[in-house]
Amino acid sequence: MTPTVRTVSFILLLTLLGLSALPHKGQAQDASTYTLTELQDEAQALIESKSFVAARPFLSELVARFENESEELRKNLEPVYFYLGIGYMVEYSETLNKEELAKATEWFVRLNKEFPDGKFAVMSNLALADCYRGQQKLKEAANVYKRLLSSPLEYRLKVSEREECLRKITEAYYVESAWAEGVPWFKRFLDEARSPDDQADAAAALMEAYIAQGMFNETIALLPSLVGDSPARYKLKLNVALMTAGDKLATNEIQRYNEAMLMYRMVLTVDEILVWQEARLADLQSQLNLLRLSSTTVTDRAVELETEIFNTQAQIDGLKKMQNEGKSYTADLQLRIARTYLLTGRDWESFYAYLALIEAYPDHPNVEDFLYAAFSAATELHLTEDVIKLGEKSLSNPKFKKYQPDVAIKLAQFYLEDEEYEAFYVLAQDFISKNPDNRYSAQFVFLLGSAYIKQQRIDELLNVFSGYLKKYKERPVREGSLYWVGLGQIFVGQYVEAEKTFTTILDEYSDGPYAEDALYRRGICYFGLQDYTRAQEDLETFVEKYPNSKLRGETEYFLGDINATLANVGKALKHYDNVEKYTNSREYIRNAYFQKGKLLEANERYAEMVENFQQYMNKYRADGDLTGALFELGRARELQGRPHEMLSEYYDGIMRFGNDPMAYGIDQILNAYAEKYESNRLEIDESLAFLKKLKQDQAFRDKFISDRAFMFSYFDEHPAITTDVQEMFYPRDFRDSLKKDMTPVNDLLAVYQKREQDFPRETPAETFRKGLTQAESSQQETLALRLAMALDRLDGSQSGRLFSERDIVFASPETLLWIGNSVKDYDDQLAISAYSTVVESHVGAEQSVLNALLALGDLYTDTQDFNQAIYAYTEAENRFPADPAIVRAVLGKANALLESRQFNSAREEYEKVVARRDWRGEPQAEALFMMGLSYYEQQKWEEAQAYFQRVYIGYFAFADWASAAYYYSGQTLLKMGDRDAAKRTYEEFLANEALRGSEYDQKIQDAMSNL
Amino acid sequence: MTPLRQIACLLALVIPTAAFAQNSYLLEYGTKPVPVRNRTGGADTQLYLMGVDMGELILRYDPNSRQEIVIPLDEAGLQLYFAPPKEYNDHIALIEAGRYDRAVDEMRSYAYPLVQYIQLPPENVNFHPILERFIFALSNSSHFDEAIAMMQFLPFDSIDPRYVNYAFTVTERLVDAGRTNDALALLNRLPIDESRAELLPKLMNFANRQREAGNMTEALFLYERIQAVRNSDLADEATLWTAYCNLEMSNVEKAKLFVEMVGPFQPEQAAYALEKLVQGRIYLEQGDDFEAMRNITQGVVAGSVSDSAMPELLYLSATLYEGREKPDVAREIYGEVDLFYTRTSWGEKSRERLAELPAPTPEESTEATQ
Repeated sequence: MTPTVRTVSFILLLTLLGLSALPHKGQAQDASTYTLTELQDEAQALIESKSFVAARPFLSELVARFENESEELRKNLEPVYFYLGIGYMVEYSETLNKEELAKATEWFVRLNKEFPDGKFAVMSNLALADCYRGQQKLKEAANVYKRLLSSPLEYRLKVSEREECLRKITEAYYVESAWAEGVPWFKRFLDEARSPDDQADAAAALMEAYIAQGMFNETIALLPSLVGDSPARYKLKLNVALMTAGDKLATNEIQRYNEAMLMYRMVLTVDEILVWQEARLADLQSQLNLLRLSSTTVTDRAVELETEIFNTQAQIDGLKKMQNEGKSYTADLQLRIARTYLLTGRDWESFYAYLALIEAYPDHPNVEDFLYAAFSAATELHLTEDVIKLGEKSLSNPKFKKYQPDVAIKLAQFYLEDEEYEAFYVLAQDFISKNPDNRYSAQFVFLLGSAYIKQQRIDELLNVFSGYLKKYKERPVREGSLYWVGLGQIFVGQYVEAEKTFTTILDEYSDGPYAEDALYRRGICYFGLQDYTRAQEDLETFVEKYPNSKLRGETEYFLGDINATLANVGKALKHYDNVEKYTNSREYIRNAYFQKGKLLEANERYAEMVENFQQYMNKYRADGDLTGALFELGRARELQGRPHEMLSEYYDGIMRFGNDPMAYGIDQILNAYAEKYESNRLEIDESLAFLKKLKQDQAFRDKFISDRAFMFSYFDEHPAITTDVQEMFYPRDFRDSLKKDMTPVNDLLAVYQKREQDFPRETPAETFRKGLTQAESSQQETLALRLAMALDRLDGSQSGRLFSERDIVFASPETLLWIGNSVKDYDDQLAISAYSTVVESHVGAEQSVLNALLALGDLYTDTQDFNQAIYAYTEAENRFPADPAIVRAVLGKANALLESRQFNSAREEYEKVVARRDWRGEPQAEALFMMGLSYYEQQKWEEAQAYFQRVYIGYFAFADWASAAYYYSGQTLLKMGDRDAAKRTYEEFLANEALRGSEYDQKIQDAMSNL
Repeated sequence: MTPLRQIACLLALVIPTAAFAQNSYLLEYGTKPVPVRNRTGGADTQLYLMGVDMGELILRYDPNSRQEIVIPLDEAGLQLYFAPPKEYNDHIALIEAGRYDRAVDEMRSYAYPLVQYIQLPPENVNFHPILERFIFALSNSSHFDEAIAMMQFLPFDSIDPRYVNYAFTVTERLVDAGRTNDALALLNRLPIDESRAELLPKLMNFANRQREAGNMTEALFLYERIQAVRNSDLADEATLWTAYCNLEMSNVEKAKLFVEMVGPFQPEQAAYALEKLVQGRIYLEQGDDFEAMRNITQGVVAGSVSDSAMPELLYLSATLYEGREKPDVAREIYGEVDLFYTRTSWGEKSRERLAELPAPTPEESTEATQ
């Protein structure tokens, strides 16, 4: 505190005492000449008129006369001492000479010594304390307050005086940082303080004391007292103490990070304190102005306000100086807070705190660290946008070197996650080229290769990594590059080259991260090259070396295939069984079961085949290929000679899964049911009929046994007789034995009679009709539609059925196709809706999707919406380029183009058909004919004629196209004015019996007759 | 002026409400002629204030005489001096000592007659300090109904804005007494505009108390009043609290509109933490915990411990950490809320959550015992 402030508070004391610092009245006189009474009267009068300085000589004279007298007389000196002291205080308030204060102090000390419990004890101690404060002897002042607040004087204090003493003793010990002595008083002040500001002051003092003494638990308990907006909180010293406390708590030794955070959170920055102080100053000034307006005298409140205004201004000046000298601790505080958030696991807060630091202090010496911390937090939180932004910011600054590799690799990963592939490629290739020896380059190589594979940019992959192999001869780039080149080579079917590449990895980098994969891939290469022995060797080595590899499941699968190919049935089965133990891939598991099924079938182990598919269906009920397995299960039953069980399994499956439109295999099973019923029915009937005839018809039996040619002829005429049965009779010995013993035939007859007995009496149509009724009654709409479709295929009984959009909702893909085909002639919109639903909603039913696209193309062509037709056909071609039925799409598209008179485009499509060897035959005949027709439409007769000739010469086997070609050839020749040639053409047609009777027969006859 | 006319003048200033019955002191004392010394233009004559009628001051030389002087209330140069009784200083001491009831009892007889002249400008008369002290004392005394009646009488539009402070004091006391409707009615009378912007913090405080008590309709009404004061620092904050109240009333779309009206704020702005709280709550309502966490965290980081939005920000942050399966972190944050805001509803909720959280992990136990 400054002297001026103390002067002001002095005045406060004086006014409290009802005194004022008025110039003394009266004149200095020789008091020694006064009588005692005169002395007393004069002193009294002066004191009453508050002229204490003027009263001094008289008071001093009284002291001189009484100080050596008896105790009884000396007690009159108490007020004298008091007013002498006051006089000096008044004088000090005018002169600001501290010697006056010292003298005042002496008188008050003397008073307290001689009259410790006197009438003036309280007032004199208060005055004494103020004197000490004025002389900046705060400890002495504190002692005085201590005395006042102790017995017996504390009982004589008014409430306001008591508060004031507590306030001042707290202030004294606080300013002196006398914590040990101060703590009990701070506590007492906190307990007794009534106003929130006093409570905060007490708490602040106590808090600093606790912090200084390392009593952190106690400090934390006080923090809530400072949450409000009290002046105590806005003391710089307190805030610095809080920060220091936080630092101590956050050391490695103590690690009380949460509590450190609490401390830091309470700290106000210099800016915040300044803003508050400035607002407070304005408020205080306003209060003072109001007060002055309402009162003409100096009130104690006015003095208080003046004091506070002065103090506040001083603080403001100090704070501004700190700011100007760059001593503001704001950045340090924010950094501490950010770090502590991180240490306490508050990752979100940590991120934003570091982000705020970066934005507030872009030129801070540690901004690289801030950026890295924020970046790392963002990666943990998966804030992709922020990761990318911060990562790019970090990498773009050439001065930042500490964290660049780590930032680069993480940024790369986030680029991939966000599918910003181009940015990723640039970053990865840039990093590798600049840091080929850096260990992070290995990761980049891996990510780069993975990205190329994912995006199917195989050519680029081979190009880039081949380039790396030429440029970089050492790890880590070379090793990874070899791997990706090898994998790329597998993708493009270069197994020989791939094998060499993987062998290089295994030879040169057998301890590297790619060795495991390389061994597996090389095994696959050998498999692809059909070198099964080497493939087996590699894959078995792989299993031995890497039993827990995530590729183990796939490896087991391929080992199964290899052993199956090498006829090691037992080993193959064992490997197939292992697949599901080592992989979760539904695809591999499914394939393993189905391959196992095939192997068992090939080895006629039908009972195990049944068991295999039953196991699969039980285990993978939720997400397996149930309908596929069901189909195979049925076949297994059939192979076991139990066709009735097959049909039963199929029907059960249909009724169980048929209501799920996504169970695509059910439609196949519906078809299979009918087909299998008929084929087995016929087989049983014919076999039974043959066996009965053999048994009962002697003449037939004799001829059958003796005449081999008759036997084969009979079998040719009855092909439905089971092959097993037929083959039984081939050996001559067997047939001869029947002359004596018909037991084998009887046994066989019994078997077939049993089969016949077991075989369902109901026809498929009857079975489906029952199922349909059941499905309709239980509102299984999808199932009902399926059964209706199957019935329609069997007996056409559903041909009059009416369909609506509602059916589209429930129908399976095949049913949708059926609906579309049923309604397309009269309700093309519903048909389009049906076909489109297949395409859009049943992507997994690939064959159905293809058929739907083709059907759409055809329908749009019929309705002359050629653009849509072209779109549908193109879509089919793009999605299913390898399907044999695609030739229909190509031709359909060409025809649609032709219809819309896009002749060149149409011919381009027709050329595609002509160019493909696997489309030889009728499609090419059609394509060539249509090309001729396209030129005919354009009146380009020579070109047209050339194509028509190609058709009837090269494709005469296709009568319809050849006939059409003959007709149009003649017409073309006529257009060209060559009647004779036209005539010869028609004559050639008419002479060819194979072509007569076709659609163009009559047309050509009519044309001929016109010539 | 006839006594009847005096009464009529007095009544004209009084709102014809039920409170009229409580203005008995006004009627008892308010019609008394007030002796003043006329010092206008250097004169020194005795006059009596008889009343105010239609914006004009009625004076007489002799209260019993019919002769009247009628001058405009804001007559320039008018100088009237009122001599308070000699006990006035004692009454001041009573007020300064906080003995408001006794001060009111003793001041009534000479303060009430002055009340109807409260519209006289301070430069024309000297008795405003008397009135202000009396009204201050009355506002803080236990004569609650009398204080209410006084507040209902005062024409706040045309008197010194200081008196509105006392009206706020009475309003707060009404709220504490559970008479929220009366408090709102009183507030509704107070002119709060740009010229009285210093009163907005009080109004905001009152509105916040309504909100915290769950009285959303009342709070919205008050926030609206604050928003209506243009160029006020608190207008944006009031708009955000309006959005908050709408959230409490499940009007999410409305809340969003209000936020959009004022945002976005920068982290260094006072309203930032509140904006983030409201945004965070909107996202929570929409089931987007990720964006909620993003917003709430930004509020926590940028705000300070004494921000009004902070307790709820911290509480929500803790619940979101719980949702992210970080109970240890949540526990610490709940603890922070309980420590700093123990008496608030958020402190209570935090204690409830702390009781339900699983025991801390062994690592955390070790730290806690250090």
